[in-house]
Amino acid sequence: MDEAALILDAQRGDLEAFNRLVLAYQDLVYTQACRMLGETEAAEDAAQDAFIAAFRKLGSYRGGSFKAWLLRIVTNLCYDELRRRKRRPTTPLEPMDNDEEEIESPRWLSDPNGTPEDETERLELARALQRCLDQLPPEFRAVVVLVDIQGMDYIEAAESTAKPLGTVKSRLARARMRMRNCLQGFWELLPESFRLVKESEL
Amino acid sequence: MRDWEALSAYLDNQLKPKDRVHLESLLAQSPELRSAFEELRRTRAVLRSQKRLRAPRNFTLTAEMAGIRRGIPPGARPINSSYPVLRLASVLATIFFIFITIGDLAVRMVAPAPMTVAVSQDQPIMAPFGMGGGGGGEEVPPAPAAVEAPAMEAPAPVEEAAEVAPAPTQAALAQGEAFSAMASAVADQKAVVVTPLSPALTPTPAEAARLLVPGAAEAEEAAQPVENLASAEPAERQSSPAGRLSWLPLLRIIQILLAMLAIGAGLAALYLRRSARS
Repeated sequence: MDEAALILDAQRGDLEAFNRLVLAYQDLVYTQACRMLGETEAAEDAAQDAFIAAFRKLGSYRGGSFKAWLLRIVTNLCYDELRRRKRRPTTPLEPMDNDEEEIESPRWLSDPNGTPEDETERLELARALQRCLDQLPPEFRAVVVLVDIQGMDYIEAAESTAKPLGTVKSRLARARMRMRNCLQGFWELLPESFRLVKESEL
Repeated sequence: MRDWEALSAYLDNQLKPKDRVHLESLLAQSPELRSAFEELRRTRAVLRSQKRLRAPRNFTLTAEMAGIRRGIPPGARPINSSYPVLRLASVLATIFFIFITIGDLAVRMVAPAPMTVAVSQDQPIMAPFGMGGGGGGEEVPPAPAAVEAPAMEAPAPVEEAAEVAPAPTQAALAQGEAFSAMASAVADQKAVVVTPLSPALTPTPAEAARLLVPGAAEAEEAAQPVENLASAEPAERQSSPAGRLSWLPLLRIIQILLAMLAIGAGLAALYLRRSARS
């Protein structure tokens, strides 16, 4: 069954049709929430809330990219959560010791397919990257996650953030610049082999 | 910053051809710009290397999550949980109010019945006694005042009753007009009794009681000139209104409270429903 038909059925109140859409997009939505919020528990809540809100708002979907429409809902929920955290700061879920090494490895950043050495390097990089993302202003963070991590094009990113194309380009450039500055010190500490592997993905 | 934005757009093939050509010539001339572009490219590669995360569980919705069991259509916000209670309270209050009002009216209509039966034994009556006031008004000149009484405000019938009651009493002295007198007296009593007790615009219970007492007394007066009336009936007529007086104030209070509850709960439920759907 194609997506357009599923969406039409869901708009008529067919919950089963909507849940098929949920299964198709839940990784995307969860990834956005995780990258925006930096923690799994909050990301699960945000993802679930996003799908509940999407079902209730189906009447307002007027065509266009359904993916962008869903991501807009979860991004806005993440903005709300980040604003709420700013008003009432909470302790991080992953405690750090004095050497700034995380005691618990973030499970969601690991890749079970790599060698132990690769896994360690990958985890180090992933942690560093998430830490740098956490330092970005939410609106910059959203754009760089949408385009560079989720693989959306500029137009989809503009739909997901409800911002003009020019704003998306500008925010993306600024976000990449900040990420470059944040990762700069970390990048030089990486072993040569790892850097070469990363270079090959350019 | 402009250079960085241009480099970022160039990286994503988002530059117009003219701008792309210009930037490529700058890159060829400037090592610093090339270095910045390489760092930008590496940053994007690091970000792109992050695999998409897998959802730790399914986020499919249950019917309850979707609000379907509660009858909320897609697009609506969840409704306040007190809405069903308010709705039920409004409906029940309305039902009880109507029940009590109908019961009250029925009792009043039954109470004059003994006088009606006695009259019909003497004088054949064609019109149903609900129309007795109209019939009486046509045949007896003083009676039209009694017919108009139902249209007046509550304090007015007090005066009307005082004026009209003696007239039917006098008319009843004539033998051929015995029936008309009884019809007038009945209409009079009804006018006195029914009008002040119209629902939702009731006078105070004390006022209603005062109205009833003269009405009962006048009905008795009007009945006396009629020779064939059973003596027990006036007593019945007198006792039944008097018997109602003891619980009438409480009934009125209950009616008013039920009406207020029905309206208040109904408005609150309507407000909750509209605010949930907005």
